[in-house]
Amino acid sequence: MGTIMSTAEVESALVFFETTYPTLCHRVELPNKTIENRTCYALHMGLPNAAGHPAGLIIGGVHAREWAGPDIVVSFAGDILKAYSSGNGLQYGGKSFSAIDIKQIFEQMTIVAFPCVNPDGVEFSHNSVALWRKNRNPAASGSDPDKVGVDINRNYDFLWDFKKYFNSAAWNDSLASEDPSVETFHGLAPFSEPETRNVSWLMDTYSNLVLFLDLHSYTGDVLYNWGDDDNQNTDQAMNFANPAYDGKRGVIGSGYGEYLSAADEAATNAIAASIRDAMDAVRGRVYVAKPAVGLYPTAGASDDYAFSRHIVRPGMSKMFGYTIEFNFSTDGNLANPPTDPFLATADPAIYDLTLHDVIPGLIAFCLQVNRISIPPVPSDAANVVHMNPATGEFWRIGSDGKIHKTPPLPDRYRTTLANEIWRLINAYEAIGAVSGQAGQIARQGLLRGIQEIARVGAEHETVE
Amino acid sequence: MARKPRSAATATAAGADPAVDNETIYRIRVEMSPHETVRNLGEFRLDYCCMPQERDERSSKKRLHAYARGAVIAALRKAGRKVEVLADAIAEGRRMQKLISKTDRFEGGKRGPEAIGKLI
Repeated sequence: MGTIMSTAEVESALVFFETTYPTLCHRVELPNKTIENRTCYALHMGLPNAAGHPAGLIIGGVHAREWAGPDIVVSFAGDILKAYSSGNGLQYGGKSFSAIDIKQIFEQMTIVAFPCVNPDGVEFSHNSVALWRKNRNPAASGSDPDKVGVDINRNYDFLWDFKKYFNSAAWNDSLASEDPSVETFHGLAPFSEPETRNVSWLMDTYSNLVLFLDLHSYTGDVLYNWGDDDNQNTDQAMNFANPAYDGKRGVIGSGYGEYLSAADEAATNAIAASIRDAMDAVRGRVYVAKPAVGLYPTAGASDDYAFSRHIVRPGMSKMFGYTIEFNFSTDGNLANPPTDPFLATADPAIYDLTLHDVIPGLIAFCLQVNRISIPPVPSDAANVVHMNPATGEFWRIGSDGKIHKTPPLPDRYRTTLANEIWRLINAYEAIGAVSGQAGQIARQGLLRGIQEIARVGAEHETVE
Repeated sequence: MARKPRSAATATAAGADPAVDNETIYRIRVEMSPHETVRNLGEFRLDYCCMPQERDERSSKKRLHAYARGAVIAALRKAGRKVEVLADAIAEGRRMQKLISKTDRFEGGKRGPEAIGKLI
């Protein structure tokens, strides 16, 4: 095979899997078409009786120029489908998985693979500007081609408004940007982009998700929560949802630390280590597992959004978030000087090495899905109804694991003002059990925040 | 990264330190001191996201991978930064684009991708 798949081939591969393994997988049509009117699909894998078990979500093709991401996800799916259907295990260099491992993936969990989140950007990178990173949304461009596109991995609703939430000393282009000409332009609002809404839709629809993984390249890392600042596990009130700390985040060592309980930190560290170890074992290329902030602080990133959901929306299952930054600036097994590592995977030799290295990491990720304990998902969360804004149709996922259209519901969409108040109320409830002065201060801060938002809202409602 | 270069670049392999064209985009490495963060390079508006900061074990200095136009490289050097030009990134991109599939080898789903792992 040898070279990077076109976006058409990624979609055709999913059709092939669905028709070849109809009892093991099916495609899931995402509700939001891209700016260039492409329909996206994910692949649901797992036997129907695994529907009530924990689930994992893997996405690729977010940053257009990171070429091998969709191919890794497609080939991972193809390998495990073939292995399960033939009753075999899988081997990648020095790393092997038994037939029992593969059996677990299909019988004890659901895996959702979304290979190409950003097909518009990927297509543009393949055929026009190879270094393109963002999507192709021109909304903020003012017809300037240099200002087209939004960085999908800065558009999630996690500390998106970085100038409000982060210390001004942390404002730089890697955190996020308000400038459409910058590669990390975060869009006009959180979830302004169809691509992020599609990922969020999968997270809402599969309410039993416990692990999330986003494939990127090329720093040779396995990143885990958090990405906005250093982790700390001593002060529960010091957290992203607490407005008392707005303007203080993102400067390492400055006193702010993002709360992660010691138990969660140990769990997520162990999962990241298992992913890393699986990739290392292939040919001895050493990946590094570390908190995402170790790369640089970020705002609006997918992995932090995934983990933040259970904190701001009580009742949701806890979902640890990961980012694999596959490949390295140099590879000791390849000739020198290396080609641009973002694009080098188009070289058949590097393509082959990359897929062999990374697919074991994804299989190891899957094998962690049912090894972590999760709180039971409330029955109402299993029936979350979603709307496709383009068509006005409503959807939910049935007990058969498939998407079903449902009759329209009353309008559930709120104004920005109401959503902001709702977010603070959720944060208030999330820290309701925090005892002592720290808890009191945090709750008072949230109540003041609600009062302030309500006051501003009331001013706008005043009749002149 | 949308702009295209006005002229072909002359950059070659790492370490050659060629003359650079102001409008061409290059793949570069910028030297940083051991405890510096990327914040210190903020004024240059480099495109370095998802790219590594290598540590040189001998000097303990860091080298940030990035893309930059020739004009930015000149500004970095003027500010005393050591910059290594690795390649003309646009030309490199065009070369690699030729290796990407332009068809549908899977014929709309009649065929699938070849296996990567070995069945055991």
